[in-house]
Amino acid sequence: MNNVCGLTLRGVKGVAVEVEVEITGGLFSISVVGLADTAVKEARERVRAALRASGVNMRGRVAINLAPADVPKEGALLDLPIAVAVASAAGYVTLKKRSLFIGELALDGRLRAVRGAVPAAFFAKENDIELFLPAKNADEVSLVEGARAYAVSSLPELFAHLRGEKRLKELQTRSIDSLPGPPDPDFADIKGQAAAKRALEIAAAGHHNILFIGSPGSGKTLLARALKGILPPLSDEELMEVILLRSTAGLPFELSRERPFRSVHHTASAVAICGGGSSLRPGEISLASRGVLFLDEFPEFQRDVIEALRQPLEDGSITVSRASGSVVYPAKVLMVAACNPCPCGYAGDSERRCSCSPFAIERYRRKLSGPILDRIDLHVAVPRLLPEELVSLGSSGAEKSETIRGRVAAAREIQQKRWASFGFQCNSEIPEKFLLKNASMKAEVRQFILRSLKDVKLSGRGLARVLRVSRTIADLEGSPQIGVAHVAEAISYREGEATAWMSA
Amino acid sequence: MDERVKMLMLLNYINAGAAVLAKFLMSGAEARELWEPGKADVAKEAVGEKGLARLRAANNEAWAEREFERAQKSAVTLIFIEGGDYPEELGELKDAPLMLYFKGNIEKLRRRPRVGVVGTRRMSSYGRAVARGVGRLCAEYGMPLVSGGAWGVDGESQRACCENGGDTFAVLGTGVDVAYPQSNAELFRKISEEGALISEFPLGSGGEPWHFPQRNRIIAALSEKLVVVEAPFKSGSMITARIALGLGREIWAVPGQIGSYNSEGTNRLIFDGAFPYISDEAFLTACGIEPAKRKGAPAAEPADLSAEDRKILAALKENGETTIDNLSISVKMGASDLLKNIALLSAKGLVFMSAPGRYSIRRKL
Repeated sequence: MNNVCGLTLRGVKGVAVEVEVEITGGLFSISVVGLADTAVKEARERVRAALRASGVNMRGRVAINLAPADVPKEGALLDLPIAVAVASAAGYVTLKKRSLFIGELALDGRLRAVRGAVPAAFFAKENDIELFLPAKNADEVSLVEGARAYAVSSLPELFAHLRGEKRLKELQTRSIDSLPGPPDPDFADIKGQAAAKRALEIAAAGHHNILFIGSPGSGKTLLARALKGILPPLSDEELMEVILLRSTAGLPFELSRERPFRSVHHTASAVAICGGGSSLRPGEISLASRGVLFLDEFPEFQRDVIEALRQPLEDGSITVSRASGSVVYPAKVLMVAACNPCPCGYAGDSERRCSCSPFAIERYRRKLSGPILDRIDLHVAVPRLLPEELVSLGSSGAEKSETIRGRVAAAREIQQKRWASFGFQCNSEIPEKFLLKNASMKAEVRQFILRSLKDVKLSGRGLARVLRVSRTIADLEGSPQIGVAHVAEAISYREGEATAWMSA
Repeated sequence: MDERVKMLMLLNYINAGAAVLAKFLMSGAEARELWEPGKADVAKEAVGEKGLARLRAANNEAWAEREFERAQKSAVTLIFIEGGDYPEELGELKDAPLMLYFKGNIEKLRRRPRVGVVGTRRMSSYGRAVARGVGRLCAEYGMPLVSGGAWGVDGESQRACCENGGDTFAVLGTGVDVAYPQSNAELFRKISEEGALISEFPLGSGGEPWHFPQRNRIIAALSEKLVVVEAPFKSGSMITARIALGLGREIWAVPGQIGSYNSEGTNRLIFDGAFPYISDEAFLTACGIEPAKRKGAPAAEPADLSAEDRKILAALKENGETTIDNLSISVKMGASDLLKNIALLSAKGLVFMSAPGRYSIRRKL
């Protein structure tokens, strides 16, 4: 037992890998066994060169075993433990206690950043062992409280530490106290679109998924981007989850409590969005967890991709299962979808003429149906403002994102208080039956709902969505009971209403 | 099977009209010469070589007999030219159809005056409102409505007519047993119960592009007054209007904004002398019907409006179609309050979204 421990990832969890080395006489060669993938097998050359650059000359037959033998191992983060184990077997260093090493080696002995540093820190913390990691990963790991970690910039530096010649400093834990910087874009920077902004406020307050319908150039993407700016900043727990997922996916670290925003192109595959591959990587929906997932050109997505989104949107998590195993990733996203009113995009536009046949529009519309729409509470038409309309808006003071964020936070607090005893967080999670009993509405509201049920042909599901949204609108006002005005506004966001002008 | 019936069916099968029939009969030939082998000369002269080949191929499969049976099974009545039920107005056409497939109530076709409604498939919200208004008017005053059952103005006027208990006839460009467009299937079912589906095309025919302009002549002929709701300058509706004009029918065109693509045709018709459809009352009077006094004055606003509601309605009346942004400036209200008020007003049916994100006052047409 040489006390050298490496790590491989299974989802967001690290699995310990014991690195054993045997050196015998004979011609020089290195072999690696233990279900290593290509990146690990190629570590041989990097390890040999890096060791030589650090003054460790290898001789004889070197056999490296990665245990447990039946767990597939992947990634370049095993470079460092292999190098340390070889150096230890060759007698250059001795490890007194079991330690965890991660890092990719450069040929000259420097350490490169790896994905999976945060899971490694959690692993080290849980098992109470020391972690040695590349200095370039230090930022993210320093946020993990209670992990004993050392940032290493090169192999000679690490050997000096292990031999007790020059001790490395233990990484200081820190926390992000500063609030996110000014939101970009700010709501105040977006001219007009008051209706869409209002809908975004409701979406943020009640965690309702939202669909924008509007012509190209109407500002759907800009509006979606602005959404993260009115969401409350990430809490400590959420921040950890976000950093953990980003590290697992190998995304660059961002020191901010700003919520993630992931925009996915419509050519993306189901695996890219939901996660998978032989290494069971997280998909976009997990990377957007606790933040915003933006799907532009929604009807252009492949049918199976849209269907695959349904379950995670409902559960807030996604199980990725492959032959190599199955892992659960968080997927608590606020989905913003955007689409054109018709294939050419200009149906109903006040300036340009739509060139689609009625049949093409019908077909496009049909793509926009199905069970996924049950998860979208808000449907909003976004008009393309004409130049003269924009001019007449003048410089009228639009609200800043910060002001709206305040209202959103207040509404969220009300919801949490109300639903805490039932185990819900926000209005969008409330099941249908439960809702009718506990949404608490004024007496005249029932009358109003019954009347409008006749006019607008609401289905049972549609009614539940309207009630959820009404509840959020009432919460935004701090009103304990749902009033008629709340329901009326919620009805204007229901499915089909945003395209009602086509059949008005 | 009656030889004359068989002859008409086979001729209709190859899309021959009254002109071909006349040519054939003038030669003194007997009906059976059309399909009997060895006697091709006269027939060939009348229907042409290709037509005759198709006709004889159909006859070899006993098409006429089988079609006759199919029609009986699916309760489709066949009406032949010069027969008692054949609408005499069709006789005015240069190339009248030799027969019609008819699914529904023949008797109701005798009611007068028949009003034709045609218009574009891509209507605006204005076109839709007018189409629905005319449909309802026809239902209320017991005037049968003739149209093409297509997307847009056609279907919408017929739907409104059906919903208000009126009689309506759809002249289709497909077989009467084919629902095209599919989304109008439910409407067609209703029409076949209350009014009738009419087609000159054999059962099971699909919607070939040339079918639709061809069936327009039937709509034109069956209409005593033809209302053109919205029509671009070059469109099927304009063809129908021109045919109707040739037959001496009254053309009523719904005026639209100048410069509006969908109203270029109708405005031109007015310029050329068509009656402008300026109100239901004017149209009814021209039909010789005394317009009834509307129950309650529809123009008056409901009494229970708040001051804000009145302000919003006034602003919409003044500016026409407006976005929430511009409206919120002109009524000096915050967006969220304004949206709530707009939502309440649209629940009351006073305003509606007339284009994406833009609101207008709902006028009772």
